[in-house]
Amino acid sequence: MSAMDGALLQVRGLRKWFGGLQAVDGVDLSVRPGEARAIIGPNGAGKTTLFNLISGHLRPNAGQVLFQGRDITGRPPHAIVHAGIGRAFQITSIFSRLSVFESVQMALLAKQKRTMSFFRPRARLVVDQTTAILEAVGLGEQAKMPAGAISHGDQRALELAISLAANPTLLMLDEPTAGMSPWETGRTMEMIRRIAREQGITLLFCEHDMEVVFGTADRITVMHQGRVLAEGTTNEIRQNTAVQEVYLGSDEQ
Amino acid sequence: MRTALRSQTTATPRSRIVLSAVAALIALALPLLLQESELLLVVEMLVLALWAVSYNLLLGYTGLVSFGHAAYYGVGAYTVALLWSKYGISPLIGLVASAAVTAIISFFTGLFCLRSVRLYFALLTLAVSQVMFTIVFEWYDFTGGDNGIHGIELPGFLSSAPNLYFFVLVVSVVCMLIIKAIVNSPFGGALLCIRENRQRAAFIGIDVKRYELIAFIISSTFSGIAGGLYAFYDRQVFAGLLNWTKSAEPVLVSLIGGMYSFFGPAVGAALFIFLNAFLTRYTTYSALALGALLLMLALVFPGGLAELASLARARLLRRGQHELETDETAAAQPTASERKP
Repeated sequence: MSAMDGALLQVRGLRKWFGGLQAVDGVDLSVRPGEARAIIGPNGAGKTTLFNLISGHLRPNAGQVLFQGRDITGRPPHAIVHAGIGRAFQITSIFSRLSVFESVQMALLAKQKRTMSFFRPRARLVVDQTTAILEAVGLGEQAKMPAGAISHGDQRALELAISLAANPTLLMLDEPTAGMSPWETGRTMEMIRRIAREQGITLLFCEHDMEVVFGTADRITVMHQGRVLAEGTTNEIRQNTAVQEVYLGSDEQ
Repeated sequence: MRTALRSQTTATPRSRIVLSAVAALIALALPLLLQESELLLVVEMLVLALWAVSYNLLLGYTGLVSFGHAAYYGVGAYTVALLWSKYGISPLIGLVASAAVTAIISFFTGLFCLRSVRLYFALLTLAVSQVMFTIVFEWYDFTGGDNGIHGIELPGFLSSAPNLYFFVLVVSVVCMLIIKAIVNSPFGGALLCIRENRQRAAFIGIDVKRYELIAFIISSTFSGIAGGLYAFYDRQVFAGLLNWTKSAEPVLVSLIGGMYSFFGPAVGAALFIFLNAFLTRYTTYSALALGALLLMLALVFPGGLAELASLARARLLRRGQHELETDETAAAQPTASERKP
């Protein structure tokens, strides 16, 4: 536990309870820079709660979250974004009445702390950066469309684009392929891997689709009933009997 | 509702210049065209228009519903009146002071009200405004209580109706243009993000409460200036200016005009004042007629008059498109059919 040896994200003894329910019950987690880490576990294992605790949406009852050695436990979401952690949501969370372009443009301006500017027209700011991000996720054509009017798959891509605009060191993805067809899933994961590699982004994602998990992750953390049941490389997890019992066995056969 | 937002961004510069020029010409010619009483009606419209546009920075652009904005309007009016009656300070200086006083007060009331969200925020704004109303109403020694303050003397050059009109015109239009610049700035964009999705706004790095507080202060400050202008117009102030029934006015006219359009609330204000004056001439049930109109608008055009206008424009453009199939600029315009039913 003492190891600070180059971990980008270090979670120590994190706990969160809702009434009598121990949603996250003493989780330790250490993510190295450049890693792609998947968190898996049956429904109710505490994955989303863990994400909410790390990204500042919820405050933990106990434990610590260190990012690049700095204590960010219980900081508000906007502070954690500025620290370098981006987040994409499981349920698409976008700005429906803004255009696709404006959505990403505002995310860029917010991250660059340029939104406290009151009299300068924003229309011509960060246009090139916005266009580059939209093209990277394949939304170049839809730039002028209202975000609420594009297809579900495109909204997932926009969700990713908004998160990328924050230029994160660590990107947290909560079920990035939820509700996607197999074809869209493959395309989306391909894109995420490519962008992460190009920009040196560390990935932390939870996912139900085992093909996605084993195809993308370097290491896997398995959660069960609010605790870490196992952690290891994809091969180690595949061969772990405890994991097979609680999770893979029942789900995959 | 989407069309309202899009129409702002897609209006061609040329048509905008022509529109502004025509509006400026009409504004200049009004004192020649209208009788004094009618001109004063226009002054009243300008005051309410500024107030409504200020208010709509919260309602339409930040997604915050305040039920107590008369408090800041009233404080603005009383600042002008009290500085004049107690200290003999010129209403011109009083108008500047009304902005400062409302800015300071709204900093504290905003800090308090923004502890809550949605309906609870709205109820807190209402409660705070009623506290302020009660103070003004009961504090006879200072505010004159329900007697109000009468006979405010304006500087000599404002004694004629046309001059008063031009003064109010310049102040209100400049204020509205400042608000428009804010709406189009990165700050205004951050407010739109908050309106659309508070949670997501925080997760792109926006300190939501802080931005809401600043929007609240800006909105209240310009409401205070509108109230100060009211004191110029009426030359008297009374506690009712802070009352909750008064707070309904900017809400009403923003909804009539269209809260997703920048000048919608201003148009709503003009219509409201006009109908009020016109209807009271013929019927004692003017409030009923206004209520019926609002109900009809809410049911048929939830985007207000702005939605009606963008529908009409889209239809005109489509007709133009049929005549000129190759005209690319027309084809690039959004059509109302994209609107969700």
